[in-house]
Amino acid sequence: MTTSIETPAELEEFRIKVRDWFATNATREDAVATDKKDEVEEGETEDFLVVARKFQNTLYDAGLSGLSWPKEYGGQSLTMNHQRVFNEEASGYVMPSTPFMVTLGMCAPTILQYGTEEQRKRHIGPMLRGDEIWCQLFSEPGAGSDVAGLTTKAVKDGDEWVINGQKVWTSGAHYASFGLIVTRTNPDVPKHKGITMFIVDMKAPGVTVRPLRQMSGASGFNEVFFDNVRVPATSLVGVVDQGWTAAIGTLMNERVSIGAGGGGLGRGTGTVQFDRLAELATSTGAITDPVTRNELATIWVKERTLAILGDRMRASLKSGKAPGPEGSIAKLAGSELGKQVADMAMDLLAESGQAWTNDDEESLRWATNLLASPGGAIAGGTPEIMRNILGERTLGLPKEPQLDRDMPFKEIRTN
Amino acid sequence: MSVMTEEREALKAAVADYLDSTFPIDKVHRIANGKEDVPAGEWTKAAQGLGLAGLVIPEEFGGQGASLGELGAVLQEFGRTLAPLPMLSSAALGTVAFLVCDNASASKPYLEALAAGSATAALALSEAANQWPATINNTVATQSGDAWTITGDKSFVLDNGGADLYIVSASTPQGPGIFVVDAADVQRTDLNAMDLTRKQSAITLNNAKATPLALNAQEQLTQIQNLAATLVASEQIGGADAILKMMVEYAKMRVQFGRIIGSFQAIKHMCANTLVEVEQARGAAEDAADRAAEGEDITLPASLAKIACSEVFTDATLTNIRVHGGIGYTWEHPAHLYFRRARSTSALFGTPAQHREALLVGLGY
Repeated sequence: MTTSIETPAELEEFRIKVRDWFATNATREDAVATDKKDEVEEGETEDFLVVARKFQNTLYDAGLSGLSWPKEYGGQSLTMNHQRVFNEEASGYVMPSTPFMVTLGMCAPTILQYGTEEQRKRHIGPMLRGDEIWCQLFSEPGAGSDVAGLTTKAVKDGDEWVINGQKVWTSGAHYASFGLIVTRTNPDVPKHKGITMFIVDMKAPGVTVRPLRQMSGASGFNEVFFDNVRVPATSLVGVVDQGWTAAIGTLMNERVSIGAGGGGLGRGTGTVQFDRLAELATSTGAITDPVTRNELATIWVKERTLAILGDRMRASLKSGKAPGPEGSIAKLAGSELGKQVADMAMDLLAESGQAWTNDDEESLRWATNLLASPGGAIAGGTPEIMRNILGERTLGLPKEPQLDRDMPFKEIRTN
Repeated sequence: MSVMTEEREALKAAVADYLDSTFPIDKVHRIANGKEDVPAGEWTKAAQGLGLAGLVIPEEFGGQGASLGELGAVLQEFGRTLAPLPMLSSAALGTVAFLVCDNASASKPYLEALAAGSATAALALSEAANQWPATINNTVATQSGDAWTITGDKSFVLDNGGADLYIVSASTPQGPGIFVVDAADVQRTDLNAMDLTRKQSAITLNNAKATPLALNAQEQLTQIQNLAATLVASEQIGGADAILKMMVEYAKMRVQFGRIIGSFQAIKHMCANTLVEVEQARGAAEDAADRAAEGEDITLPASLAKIACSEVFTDATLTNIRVHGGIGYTWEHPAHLYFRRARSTSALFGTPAQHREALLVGLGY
């Protein structure tokens, strides 16, 4: 792991502090009624934002948020070993942290790396404290896998920029106070060279958020319309027309975050999926079946290797390295695991996975999980896009011939 | 992405330099074909120069006192190059048996000879196929006064064509025991090993003189086998990494249909999938070795590492042959040397299926 500078005694003292904090301020997973477990964990109860905010506020005030983030911006400047101790102690407790995943896993690292000093001072503390929730505004109806084909425009007008266009698949846009948006600022140059990133106030005039319903029935994300939305020049992130670099950084953090299940809080030490499946296999009696046992062990292996990978990647990131395309590895492996877990549960449930009685919460949960699983593979880039990224950026294989790469954006065929 | 310390990276780099210059793959290939021999005294030279033979042997016995994490890192380099030296067999498997038994007075002369590179040891626990952990079926140790003798058979012994010392498990009235037997007291028969780069044997002991390292040693036997699985996994991930590089290198230079084949998504995705598997298995292997170094119980991490590394190594070597096409299927190409090594090590010290079952039992199911 990273070279540590803390002494074992300091680490032990920290462990006791974290343990005490969780005992006083958090709910143990096993203390939550089974039928409420997912809702509390996923933050889908009615007042989940209130609960999540309060949790994050208390965590921050106790000096336990942003453990390895710089102190000058509201973090704790501690080591990865502190983070590891925190994860170990947090294991077994409900963490209502879903609303902060985009904020802390993607937006905050981008501001830290590409933002101005003023932006860092203004936003990172409130992000870590849970006072500011952010969303990322990248995908568009006409620009999915090919995000750089985006057409939302930003035009300079005095000390302001004026944004027009539409974004989509925006998680949390309905409750976010700020968004990180990428826009087209120069259509006369090739597509990657005319993109600019801004911070946008989600409550600004001209911003309209409409929820989208997914195949699972849930409404986790939105479409967002920008109609002459004005942002000050100080909300520019990075350099005009060079926003693609920052956007890549955000997307790589996103992949680490989605794949390793860590969010900003960096969990992922356990084997939650395995535990649930093993419980299910025990209840159906399939636990004695050699094929089931083999599959279960495979799930455990995949879940553990993914957790180890997540720890190693976070260690590498926090030791100062910029996120590499390895985030795609976690993303790919994570979505593959998700699919396998969903499939295995369905095999174990057999008929009762496809039709169930009102009181059968177990079947409802797994059926919902199955219907949500295709989304996990697509969010943050499809498996095929991930494999292209790994093949090209990490392994250095040549790109597919691209027709539009060097053409001015305005001459490219778009949707 | 590796999160190794600088010291460990430096050690790994030094070993890589030595192996790349001493055992380039074409030389390994000639040795595997019996057209050339391992240079005489090479292991002693490596022992003295880089301290490889005694890497994890405590300094008081003339070793380097390095951790199992460092050993794992070095084994990755041996796995990468297939260098035909007894690094896994003697410096890892044979040596950790002594260390786990922790019997300084009995082990001292052996450890000193191992560290100096003047002797090699081989671990001989297995008696029959398809047993994990290895059980003692017919090997019996008998005590007469202070002297012990052993009668029985062991197989699938990684000994690189003949070790000087064999570490043998045998049943005794005080439960399973672990003993050292001198090669002179052992009848050794070469097995026809699929892996052309590492010889294996079956050995017969007929009232062979034996020195006890541990009696009533069930716990030590379990620990030795968990470590064996972990260390083999470290070697495997080095091999898998070499194979990933081999397939990528070929995909970057081979032209068909007027394009570099690596620009086709079909080929690119084969390489990317291998990368995904290799990076995950690497984490599992290094995690298990580091936990072992910290003295943690590695029952589960060892199985995890052995499953992950066996499977990725096997898959990667097959994928590599496919990326190469016909040339990858020829005897002259080194691809099959790794394919053979992958299949061979996958079966040794617990197959993935056996480790899966062990995992579930270990998890309480």
